[in-house]
Amino acid sequence: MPGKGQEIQDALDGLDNQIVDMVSNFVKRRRKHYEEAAAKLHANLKKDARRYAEMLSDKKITKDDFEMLIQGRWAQLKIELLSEVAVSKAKFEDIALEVLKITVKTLLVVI
Amino acid sequence: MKTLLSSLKINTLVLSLGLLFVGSMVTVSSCVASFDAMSMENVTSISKKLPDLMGKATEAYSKHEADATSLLNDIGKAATHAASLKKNKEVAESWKILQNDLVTPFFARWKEKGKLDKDFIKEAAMQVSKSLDAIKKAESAKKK
Repeated sequence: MPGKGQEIQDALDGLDNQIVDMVSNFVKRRRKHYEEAAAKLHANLKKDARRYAEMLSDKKITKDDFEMLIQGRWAQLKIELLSEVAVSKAKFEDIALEVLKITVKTLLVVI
Repeated sequence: MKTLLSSLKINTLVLSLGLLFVGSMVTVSSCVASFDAMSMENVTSISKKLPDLMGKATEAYSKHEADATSLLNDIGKAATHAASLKKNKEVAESWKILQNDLVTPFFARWKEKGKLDKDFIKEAAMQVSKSLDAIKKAESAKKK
């Protein structure tokens, strides 16, 4: 069995680069997603704030309405950010499971 | 005998790996709340009713007071349910923000003024719809 132990060790060592690549690609993909999501959230926030300001300027809404809309928009942004965090946690779970699966699969093949 | 021992070792190793795999699956899956049908039902149902009711704020609040009270109650229940689930901090916090910073102030203003302007209603209802969409997105990402 010492040979088998070495074989297992080699198989696990052989996974190192593959797992590093998997995790690294995952992080890159998530980073790109975060950057796109942040840019989109910011663009929408600016667009909405400008529209509220124009409505106030056109006297379509009162100053109180404007202040309430800005506060509401801030609340909406917080909820959208919390949603991004929740989705990210679920995605993180996916990659953790993939790493686990590939490790166990490799070990079972060797055994 | 040696072969038997070797095969036993392998079986023990396979069993250990199996246990490790199952154990890890349990640990990994507990990082995030799993999909909850009631949570999804709550967000879907409130998403249908709430913007509709807000759209009626051009009419007298007294006419819709019962509906407003009932919906606020539903949102409170959804928030309590979300908070009761483990590993569900983000969604629970979202419901609290929706309740305290968006819906309650809107109904309070409607009650205070009697009626609201359509331009203001349209924007406030859009904020609520988009917030509910974000909660739904978080619920949909949970594993079934």
